[in-house]
Amino acid sequence: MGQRARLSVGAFLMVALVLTGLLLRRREVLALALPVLVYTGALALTRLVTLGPRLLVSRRLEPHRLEEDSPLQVTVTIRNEGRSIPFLGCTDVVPAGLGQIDGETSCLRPLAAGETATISYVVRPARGEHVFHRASGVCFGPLALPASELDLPCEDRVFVLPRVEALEEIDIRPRQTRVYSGTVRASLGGVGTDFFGCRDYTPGDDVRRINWRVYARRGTLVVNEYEQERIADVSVILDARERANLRLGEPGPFAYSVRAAASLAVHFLAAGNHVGLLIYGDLLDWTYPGYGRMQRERILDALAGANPADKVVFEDLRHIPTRLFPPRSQLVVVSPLADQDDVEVLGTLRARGYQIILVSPNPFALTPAEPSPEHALAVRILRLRRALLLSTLAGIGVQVVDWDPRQPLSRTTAHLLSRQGRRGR
Amino acid sequence: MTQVACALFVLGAAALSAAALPTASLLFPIASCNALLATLWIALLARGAGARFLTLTLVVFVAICAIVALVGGWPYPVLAAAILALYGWDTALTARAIAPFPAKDRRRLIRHQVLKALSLGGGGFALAACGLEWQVRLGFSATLGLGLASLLVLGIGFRTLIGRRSK
Repeated sequence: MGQRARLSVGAFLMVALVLTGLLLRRREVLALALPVLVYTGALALTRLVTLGPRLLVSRRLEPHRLEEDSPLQVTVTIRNEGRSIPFLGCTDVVPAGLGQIDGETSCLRPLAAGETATISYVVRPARGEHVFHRASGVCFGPLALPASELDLPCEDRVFVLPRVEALEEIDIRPRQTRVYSGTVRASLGGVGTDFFGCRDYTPGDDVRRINWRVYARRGTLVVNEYEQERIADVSVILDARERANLRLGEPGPFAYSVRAAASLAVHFLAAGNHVGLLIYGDLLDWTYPGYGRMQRERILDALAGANPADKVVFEDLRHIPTRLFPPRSQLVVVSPLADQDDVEVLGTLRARGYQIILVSPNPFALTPAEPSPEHALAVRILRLRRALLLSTLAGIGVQVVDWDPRQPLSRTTAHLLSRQGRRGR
Repeated sequence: MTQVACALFVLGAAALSAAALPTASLLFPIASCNALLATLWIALLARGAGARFLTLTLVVFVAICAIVALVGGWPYPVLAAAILALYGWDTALTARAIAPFPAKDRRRLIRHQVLKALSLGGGGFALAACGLEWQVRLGFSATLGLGLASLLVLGIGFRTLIGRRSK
């Protein structure tokens, strides 16, 4: 209750007592009005003395773009451009989702004319865009009498990107690659590092590539060919359907899916590939494919704002717009999977010639200890169902990465998707 | 600070009950009402109820003060009770207003709050005591003028409240 309300209450009491005293002609009741008059008068005087404080508020966020769980330094500076304020209470209105706050978000102190007060604290914000709208202030006059309540707008925003994990080599083999040289083996003979095959010598071939042993045996000139390494089209699909991202614990699998999608997209971009991103759930959020750092930022921005949604039209994966993906390119699907329908859709994509890597964060790894035998049995059945879905997908040629989110993604991909990992298995 | 607000109001209720001693037959209902209000006040503060409930309790308490004064209670304890309740209410509201701020920053303001309660409360009591001691005869025109001025203040107060709600 602010100063105006207190003034109103004081005035109401005072007037009621005065009128009662006058009507009943009783000085005891009139006398009761006098302490209230003193209180109300002091309030009114304070209001006049501290009328219209002029405060200049600015907020500094350091940095403006950061990875989730990184520290964000917030500094709010309040400068008094008007008369001295006996007591100024200022609170920075912190948006929800900023996690634990280290430091004080408010201060209460006298502020002389021209003086500056500072509020400084550190937060570790969750992924997404966070808007700081305003700070709120309350002025107290002499004797701690409330003078005025202030709304101090100072908008600023911070963009929190998903955490990106550095991944080791991921071996992808799309059926079609782009013409530029890169790191993806293209199943085509030419210039490269891995031996691909031999062919007859044609004038103009580099003499250093002639296979002299074959010449010694057959008497004809044959040249070695190496597998060409090119860049590829990689489309990362993030499954943002609520029904696929069952929240059995905190945080749910979606947070891990986003981190996995970010890590994979950044990895493929760093390898020089042409990478696009589709977030499938709330709507079809398509980040047009591209190369380089700008594309990295675009993808991370899109992932920063991704949230799971429950839309009937996107209930299953049938509405994935395949026309967005170059034919026979590489798809990387990040999904915990919902049911058999998803398997069928991925099978259809596979049949159309896409190479598919499915990174599936295991939601049951995040499950807290089962509270009852029935719950434990239900979780066991769901685990078995999930194992069945994944093995079906593996059977139709999808590279399945069953990821325990408690483990680093890099360890799982190094084991399942690298060339060395494959040889070792 | 909330405990101080509780203590002030309970003391006020006790003072009002003491003031009702000369009223004889009305003593029991008045003391019961005071005990009820004090309990309600403590409950409201403990549960962090809205400021409007605290204000309503204060208004009811001041009304009982007026009734006790009208039915012949001792005037000075009645005055003390009203002042204690008023500053109890003010302290409770201030405690809520400064609750979000760091404890180390609040100390200085709490000192000022205590000073306010003592100085304004003491001043109010002294003024009212003077009013009780000095008999002032008001003529018809002075009474009418005072009454109209009170109504004007009441009107302004209502306008302020209505204006605040319609925003």
